[in-house]
Amino acid sequence: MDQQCIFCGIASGQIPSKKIYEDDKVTIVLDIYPANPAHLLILTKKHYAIFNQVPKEEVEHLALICRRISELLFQVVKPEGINFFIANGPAAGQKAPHMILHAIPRFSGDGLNLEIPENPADEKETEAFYLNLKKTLKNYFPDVDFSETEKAGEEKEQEKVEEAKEEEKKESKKEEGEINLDALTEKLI
Amino acid sequence: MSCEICDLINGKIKARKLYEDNEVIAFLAPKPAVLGHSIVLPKQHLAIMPQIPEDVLKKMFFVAQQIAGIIFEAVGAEGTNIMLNEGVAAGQKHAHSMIHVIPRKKNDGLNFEWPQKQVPEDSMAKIQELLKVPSEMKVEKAPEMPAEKEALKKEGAKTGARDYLLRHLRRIP
Repeated sequence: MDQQCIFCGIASGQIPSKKIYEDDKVTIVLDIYPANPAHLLILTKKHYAIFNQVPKEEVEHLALICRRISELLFQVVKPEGINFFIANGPAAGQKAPHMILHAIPRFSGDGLNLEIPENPADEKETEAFYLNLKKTLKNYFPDVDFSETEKAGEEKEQEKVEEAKEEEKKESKKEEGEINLDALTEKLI
Repeated sequence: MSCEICDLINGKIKARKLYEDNEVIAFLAPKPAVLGHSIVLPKQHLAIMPQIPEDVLKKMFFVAQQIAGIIFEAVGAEGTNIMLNEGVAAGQKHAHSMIHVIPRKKNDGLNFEWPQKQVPEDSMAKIQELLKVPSEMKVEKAPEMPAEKEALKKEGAKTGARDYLLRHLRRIP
């Protein structure tokens, strides 16, 4: 526990709050500055600044907590939806240095906008990013079979190689000032 | 029933897999908010958390945490958002539950912040009273309520505390 942290104080009960649940790992309180009525803050009792510092056992506990809170809110508050939300870092909207899992009941026309935009993926950029990422993924998840995606990746690589060859051909032929029928045919078919 | 997310899992739609085991799978989002936006899902077609078996949900949360770390590094992010949206009103787009992991940077054009609402003190007290979970009712020991699970499967079941779930599900496109 961090003596300076307000949310540690709330989680431990040293700072008064509107508590609705407590066990050995978490405390759940009503947010007194809510996005909507019945906005809940799920707080770990131990001080973690961000979600990624939370040990596995507690992450799993948070999963069960969210499941129960979802049931509870739908039953009691009867919202039309719920957002479960964590912000890690100020760039993500984190306001306090204590990991907070928000549960925000939603009602149509409540004026909140937590919509996640959907954009078309930039294929080239995404593929390059993914190929690079896969090396890391294999280290993290050694049991996961990436051969399927690998094949797709290899095919891509193969395509790139062929494209490059074609470019080369074009270049060389340009120099010679001749028309390469093979390359042309390949392109047309 | 066709589900775009199930098609992703079955390989009918091109997918970039980040993780997979028997029950849980993760991909780069096909329609990302930003580069690196990832989704973690149950393989089984389940719409909301209360339907997801506890062990599967636990794994989803843990995988989401791992992926948040990996993606954070990979895109050189300054933060991450972890989101799980239950219901159309919360922005859920598919009737297939998923955890979103979204890497964040300053001025990335995203904004998930909310204005604070004033809720009168007496309403707060009432809500607190309604939601209070007895402390002896530990989450880990919650009964599974198999009878209600059955009721969930039967379209048109009207009794019990869970008919809200059915109503809720109908709202999902």
